[in-house]
Order: sequence, then C-alpha cells, then structure tokens
Amino acid sequence: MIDKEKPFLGYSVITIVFDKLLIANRGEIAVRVIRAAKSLGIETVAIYSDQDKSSKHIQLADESVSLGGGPASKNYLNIEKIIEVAQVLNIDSLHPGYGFLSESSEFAHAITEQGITWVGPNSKSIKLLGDKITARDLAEKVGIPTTKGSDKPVQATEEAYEVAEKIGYPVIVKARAGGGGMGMQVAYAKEELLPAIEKSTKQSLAAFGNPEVFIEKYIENPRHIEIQFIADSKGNIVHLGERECSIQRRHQKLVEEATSVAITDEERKQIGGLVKKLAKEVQYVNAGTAEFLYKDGQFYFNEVNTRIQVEHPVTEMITGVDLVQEQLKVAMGNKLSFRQNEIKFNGHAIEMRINAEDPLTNFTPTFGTVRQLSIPGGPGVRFDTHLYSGYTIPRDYDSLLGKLIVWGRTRKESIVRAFHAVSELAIVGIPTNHAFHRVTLANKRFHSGDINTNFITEENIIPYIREAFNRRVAALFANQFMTRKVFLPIREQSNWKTTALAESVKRWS
Amino acid sequence: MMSKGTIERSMEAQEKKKSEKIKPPTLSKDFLPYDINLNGRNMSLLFNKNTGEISMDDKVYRPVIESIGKDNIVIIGDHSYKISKSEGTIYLDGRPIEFTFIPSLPKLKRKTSGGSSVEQVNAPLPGIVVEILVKIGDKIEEGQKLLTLEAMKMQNEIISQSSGYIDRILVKSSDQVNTDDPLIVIKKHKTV
Repeated sequence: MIDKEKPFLGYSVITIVFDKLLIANRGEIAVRVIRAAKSLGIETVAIYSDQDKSSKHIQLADESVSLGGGPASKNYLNIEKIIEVAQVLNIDSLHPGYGFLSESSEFAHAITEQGITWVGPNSKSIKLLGDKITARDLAEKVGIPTTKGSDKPVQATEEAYEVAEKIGYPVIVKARAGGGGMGMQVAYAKEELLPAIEKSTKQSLAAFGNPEVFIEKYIENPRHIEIQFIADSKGNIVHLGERECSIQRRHQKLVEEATSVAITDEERKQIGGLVKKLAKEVQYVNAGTAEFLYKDGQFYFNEVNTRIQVEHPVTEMITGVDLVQEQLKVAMGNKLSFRQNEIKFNGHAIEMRINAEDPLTNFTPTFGTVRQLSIPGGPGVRFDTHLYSGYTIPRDYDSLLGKLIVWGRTRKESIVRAFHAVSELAIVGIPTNHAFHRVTLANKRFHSGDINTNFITEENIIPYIREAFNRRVAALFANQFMTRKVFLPIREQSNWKTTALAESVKRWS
Repeated sequence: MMSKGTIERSMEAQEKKKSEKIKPPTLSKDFLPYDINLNGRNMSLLFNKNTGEISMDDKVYRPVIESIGKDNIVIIGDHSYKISKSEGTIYLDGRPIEFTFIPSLPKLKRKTSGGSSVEQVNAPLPGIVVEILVKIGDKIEEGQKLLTLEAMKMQNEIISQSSGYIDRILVKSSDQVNTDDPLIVIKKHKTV
C-alpha cells in the first residue's frame, strides 16, 4: 500500500505501509517481531517446521504456513520454499529475526528481487560486513581501532608462521565468513599455530561453507562491548549506546547489560561516532550492532552483526526505544523517529538468557515439557519468551527459552531486582541454567563490575552452583523424609507401591 | 527466623566457599543411597536414617526442620529454605518445583540356568523401555550398558553383569515392563 502524504517543504513524501509481514524465524524472536508488527497494525504471517507446530509464534500470528519437517535446511533455511510462501500469500515485507537466514545476503537479495521489503540492511551491506576481512578493512578505513591481523586468508603452511610472528603470539584464527564466536581457535605458541589453522578451517567449512580463515592478535580476557546503531534511508544514523556482554561461556553470551560500567560518556560518544561512520561507509539502512573487545581503555573491532540481536532489549529498557518497531518503520521508508541528541541513557538494564542447558552437566542441552510456568513481575521486569504451560521443546533448535530483562535506576538496583526476579522464575519440567544466573548475580566480583569474558572460569562458579543445588536437594529430601510426609509424583506413577519404599512413608494429609 | 533468599546471604556463601577446604568425610554403613529427581534433573544422595545426615559430593549436611503452620523451614548451616505445598505442588522459597526420590536400585537380579552359561537380565523395577543399546549377536563386556529403562521420570541404565553375546532381546522400545520381566538373554559363548 502506498500512502501519498501532504507535500512537505515542496516535496511529495511517499511512505510505504506494510500490509503483510512474513516472519522468517521461530521462538522468542518471532514472538517479539509479531508483537512489534501488531502494534503498527501490520498483518503477520508465521512460518514453521513440523517440529514447531505447537509453537507460540504460530498462535500469535494472523496466518501461519507449514514448511514441513526435517532439518532447518528443509524449512527455516530453505530460501526457495520461503519465497514460494511469500508469493502465494502476497507478502510485502519480511523480517528475518536473528540466526537462520538473517545474515544471508543471498536471501536478502532474493527477497528484494521479488519486490518484497527486507527488514534489515540491503544485501550489499550484509555481504561487505559479513566478510570479516573486508569488514576489518572498512573499520580501519573509518578510524576504528582493530587488532593486528593478516590482510588476507592464511593456510596451514610455513607462510603462516611468518604472519603470526609479525602479529605476535598469542594469535586467534577466525573464519572469514564466520561470526557468533564459531570456528575460532587460539594459538599461544608456534607449535600450536598450524593445528589451530587446520581446525578452524575445518570448522569454518562445516559451519559457513567457506574454509577461508585469517589470523589476528588474540586479546586475552577482554570485555565484550558492542554498539547498537540504526539508520534510515534518508541518511540519518543514530547510535544507541553500548551493551556489555562479557559474561560468556565458550563465546556464547549469557548475561548482557546496558550501560557498561567500564565505558565513560566520552568513550561512548567517540566509539558511537566511529560506528556511525562505518555504517555510512556501507550505506547501511536499518538496525545493526558493531562488536568490540575492550581492554585497558582500548577498543578492538570484532565484527558487525547486520541484524537485530538477541540482547537488544537491554538497550530498549534504558533508551525507551522499541527497536523492532523502529526497524519496521525505517524499512517502510520512514525517517528515524528520534535524533542522536534525543537518545538519553536512563538507568541500567540486565538481560539473563534462560537456556535449556544444565550448568551441572557442563551446560549440556536439556529437553522436556513445560509442566508449569511461573513468571516474575514487578517494576522494570520483562520476560520475552515463546514458552507456555504444556509446551514441549523440540530437540532441533537452539536452547534459548526466554530472556529475563530487568531495569533499575542504578546498576546495583537492577542487579538486586534481577536476582529476585530470576529467583521467582520457574519453568517446571525442564532443567535450565536458572541457578547459574542466581549465583552470578550474587557474585561479589560481578557486583564490583570487574568482569571479562573469562569470568565464569576465573570465579570458579560451577562448583558453587552445584553446592547451592545440593543444599536445596538436602533440604527438600529432609523435609519430605524426616517429617514423614511425602509428595507423591503428580502423574500416573502407580508403580510407587511396588518400589520398595519405606512403609513408614505416609501421604501428605 | 533467618531471612531467606537474600542476595547478601548468597554472596556471603560464595565468598566463604572460596576459602573452604573440603575433606572427604568417612561415612558409616548407615548411609543409604537414594535417587533424586529435581525438576527433571537426576541426582543422588546418601542418607543416614538414624542421624538425619545427608551426604552429597563429599559434604555432609545436617538439616534442621522447623514447622510453621503449613510451611516448613529447613535450616542447613547458614541457609534456610521455606518448603510448602499448595494445590498439589511443592514450593521451594515460593518457587514451584518437582521433586521425587526413590531408594537406589538394588543390584540386578540374575537368573543363571544351571551350568548352561545362559544369563537372563530381568527388569529390576517397573518402567518403560526407552532405548535398547545392543542388538542380537553383539559381543558385550561386563559393565556395558544394555538398555535404558525409564521409571519415576528417571532414566535407569541397565548394565550387564557378565560378558558374552546377546542371544535374545525380549522387549522393544517403549514397552512397559514390570519387575522381574525378562529383558535380554546373554550367552557366554557365541551360538554357532
């Protein structure tokens, strides 16, 4: 639909208004996008795999289409199939979410070719920034500090030693087409270099279909700081400050905050300005995030994510901006609804990723059915999730169950609120990483703000989680055994009678 | 009454743990094993019925229970937990949970028919066959996993107590079995 508005300063302003948005994703982000679209009066279409047939995004969308079963390559990653659906249902816009095809320049291109508006940067920007070597060159060009690195791909040959020596050990081997912390290998000394290159090459080929890798200086135990930005098609670019995502396990973020205790207003302004330059350099339109490593007052460029990120809500909490809604608006050709000087950072926000992973068994994925869901509330508490009571988690997808986001006037206030909010959150039926968050939020060093990406190891958090668990188990066991009261399992378990349970155990009256 | 679940208390406990040295305790024969399921997580503990002591991961806990109305307060060292029940659900510090326990499985019952070197593995408890990990003709070693039996929402691995060859498999996946139902027959020597 095209809206001809009244002439403005002599120009005729044309804005497209989306009628029907396809959400090419699943899980909590599909739910998040549907909500934003609804608030703008846009009709929503969900796609789903057989495994996801009882997923919440289908229930919330106005229409939904099955893409069949099998692995993601047959449905959520199947460009042809999604385009077919878009044609049949007369879709005029598509939001890719994060993961899956969100950073596929090929998909963005194919969608645009169909006359469908892609809610994200154009395929050219995605391609330029998706290539980690090109991205680093572009960053350098606009004055963003980078680590020393190879200016072209390296192979596991003698030549690599020369490159690594010039950079200086330790070095990190990264996938050219990579991102999200996958396929990276560290070499601390010469003898580790070739094995690291070989391993990274193998992983890169498997994960990204491109075996090319390159070398960079490895920054040990940095903070992870990233800058959110958004640009419209009129040339306006605004940065929305930083998020700190230093609490990670094997490069996977677990806790994110905004703002960071480490960054001064001056630093924010400076790095934010440079990120805007980079966005301008590639004629970026829509939302994106520039990721940095930060150590001893120095930023080092890492990568740009050309999509909405999982942890975008912490920025929303402190700026009051609905980022997904703003993504839709700028994709429709609207001007950004705020200017740089209107962005104020109010208070502090924390996001806890609630994953179906058990910290007691080295974070292995867990599965099950949500038998009961109890969600915390109160001022500044938000839970973005696709879970509902009775929902069974399919085994085929990532482990993110939801994001518990908490706001407070100060970092201290938001930590305390987050601790009590996560203590209330109950997802009965599926072991989660819930206890990890409780313990992290009550960690003295976390409170001090002296954190880095190696925090979980340095603080030796896992044994403490185990002990906290054991104490609770001991309390529950004692309560039920020693008081001679027992709660029988809720379901069918008639076989209790036949198990040699102590006769002294009585039913709770 | 101690205040429960505060962030300060949790922080103190973490700090304390840092300087703590754990010496594995010597446990008396009175400690008996129990299998626990907490929110779908399988764990185990040792419980001394006479003293009320509970041992997990080389630590001994001595819970003290105080009843207040329909709630119980369980105190373990510096920590206290409120345990209550409402509408059939257990609440731990106000959070709904699922908690079940059973005494750990007794040793597998075996039936050796005379000197025929045939051994039958029977179900030690009632449950559902989740997964069969061997097939007919497989050579197996003592201690090898044969199948998984789910009972009380817990996955129990049935382990072979002898070496030999799988002669017959008498159940299939998702079969419901009762105590002493035959599951698998193992032969000492390969059938020619």
